[in-house]
Amino acid sequence: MNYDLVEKLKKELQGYRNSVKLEKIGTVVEAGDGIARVSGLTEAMSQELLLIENSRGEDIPAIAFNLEESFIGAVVLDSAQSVSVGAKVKSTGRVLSIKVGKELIGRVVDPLGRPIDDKGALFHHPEDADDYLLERSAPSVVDRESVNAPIQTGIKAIDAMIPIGRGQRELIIGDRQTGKTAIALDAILNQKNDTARKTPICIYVAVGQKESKVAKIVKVLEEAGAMKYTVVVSAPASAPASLQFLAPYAGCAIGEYFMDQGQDALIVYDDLSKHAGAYRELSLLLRRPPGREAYPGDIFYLHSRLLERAAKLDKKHGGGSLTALPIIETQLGDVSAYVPTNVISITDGQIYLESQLFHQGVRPAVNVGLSVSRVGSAAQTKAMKKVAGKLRLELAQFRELAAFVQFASDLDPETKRRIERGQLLTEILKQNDREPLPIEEEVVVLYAALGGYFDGMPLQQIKETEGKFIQYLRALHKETILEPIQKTGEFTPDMEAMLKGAIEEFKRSENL
Amino acid sequence: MSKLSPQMYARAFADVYEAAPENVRNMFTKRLFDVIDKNGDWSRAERIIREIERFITKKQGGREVQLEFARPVPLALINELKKRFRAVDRIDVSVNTSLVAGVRIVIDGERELDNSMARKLKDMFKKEL
Repeated sequence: MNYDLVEKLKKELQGYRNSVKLEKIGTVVEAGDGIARVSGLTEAMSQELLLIENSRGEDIPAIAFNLEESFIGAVVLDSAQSVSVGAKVKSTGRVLSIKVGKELIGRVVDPLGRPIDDKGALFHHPEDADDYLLERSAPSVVDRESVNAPIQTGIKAIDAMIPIGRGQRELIIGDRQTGKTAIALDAILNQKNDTARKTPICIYVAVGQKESKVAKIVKVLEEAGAMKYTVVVSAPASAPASLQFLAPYAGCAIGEYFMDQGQDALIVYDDLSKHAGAYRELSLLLRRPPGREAYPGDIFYLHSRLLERAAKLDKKHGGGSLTALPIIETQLGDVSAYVPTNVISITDGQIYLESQLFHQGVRPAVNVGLSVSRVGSAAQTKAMKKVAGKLRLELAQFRELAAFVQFASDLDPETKRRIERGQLLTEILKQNDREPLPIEEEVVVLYAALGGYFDGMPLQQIKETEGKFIQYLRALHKETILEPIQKTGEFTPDMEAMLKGAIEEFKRSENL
Repeated sequence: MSKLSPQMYARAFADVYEAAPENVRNMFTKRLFDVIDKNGDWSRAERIIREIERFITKKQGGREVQLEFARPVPLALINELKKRFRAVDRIDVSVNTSLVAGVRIVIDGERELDNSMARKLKDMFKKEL
């Protein structure tokens, strides 16, 4: 016999106080597909947390979604199979919330905040946890300030041309298998490289993903030591649509907790297309009128109210920030579909990934022409701004001439030179996934490439030379070149002169 | 099954029933069953009747009271309890053995006073075990 449990039971019996009170209740009149129609509870609030008592006497949480004349359409948040007609429903008088705190860091939780990583229970001491509402209004205009600090992704093409600021919302959009998750993952992995600023807490929200993919991502983060500052919220494809719908809001609440503590947070919503799909499923089951592509009328508000919660707070409110990297999957590159256009219009820019580029071996497959960051340039470090200023222009010129690449031998010398430079820069911007570069290394590589120091080099050698160049600088010029750029974010004429000397020295040593 | 909800049946029946003179009211009851039959709503007949009863009780300013006991109780006790409610209230007494002991009172299907042993046990065990 377990005497601990007996002792616990004794204490419960001794301390038990019978309090009978009049409670508001309702009754399930229809149940199925994760939806319950409830009669009674006429005073229930929209989005209120309800508790449905199943046949075993357990309380199954549900949310009041549709408040109709005589019924409530409720979305069941747990195993809906155990909910039967006639079950008693109790209102709680509160909307859905999640327990948040520092203990969440390094953990994998479901959208209700329950751990799913076999690392034990969370929040043994209630004082360590705060209750944060899943649905909360975004910080007001007066509480915010402009984006002024960068969040480095470690991806040259992005940090140089599509810079992201802390508090910004930058969409990652592209077809399936174009490297969307890889970019978001690299951004998380790279946060430990950015030693000039406090490491942001990263939250990865997996919506409707395969469980194997989520497990793989957690493994990658653990192996890279990134779980020390990361929380994973998972509502996989096998989870009910209700949990998939809630996952981004749960992740956002966790991010807001850290933002309110004055910290920086980075949240990845992977992906909002599946989130919209889950909401469509719920809405149709609740018999809400379908609109375009069968989405309900408030599909825009679904994402705008979520993404508006990303913010950079002013000093008076702690100066914290929440940066959002939502992901949208397009079908055959169609960015004009309903949900992609909605999210493009909500966010402060987009990183557009193209499957054609991906198959050509340009990875990350960022289409520089269609990608934009509307506010990030204000937050870009001075060093990167100084070095990469010409990059976008040179690539744009190359794109105009790209069609003539196959006739390169018949072209005039100036056009030929531009094509060759474009090819070299494209090669320089290629990067393997899970190999994000610290900002100072990105700056020196781009400086060398844009300064023409790699011109004339065979394209096949570029990657290897870049690697050797970085190794060379790490070994011989760490204190004189790399660290000053990293610490100050500046690229002064003195540093430039020193870097020039180092590049010449490197080229001599490698006989280039 | 028709698209008519039990609430619709209840509203229509109550309006017609109250507007008619007393001597023809029985005819409406028969007609109600004819309409249910015509619409193929026999599977919902019980719910429709319950809804009509509820609707009429509410219209007369009464409440629908459900008294659930864990075991059969003496009639005298039931009558004593009934006296505590108003004459217009519709009181339904039933036995629900899942209560284990005690009584559960539900008013208008919305407010509940649960003084059953089942609830007490659930409260006790819900806390930590």
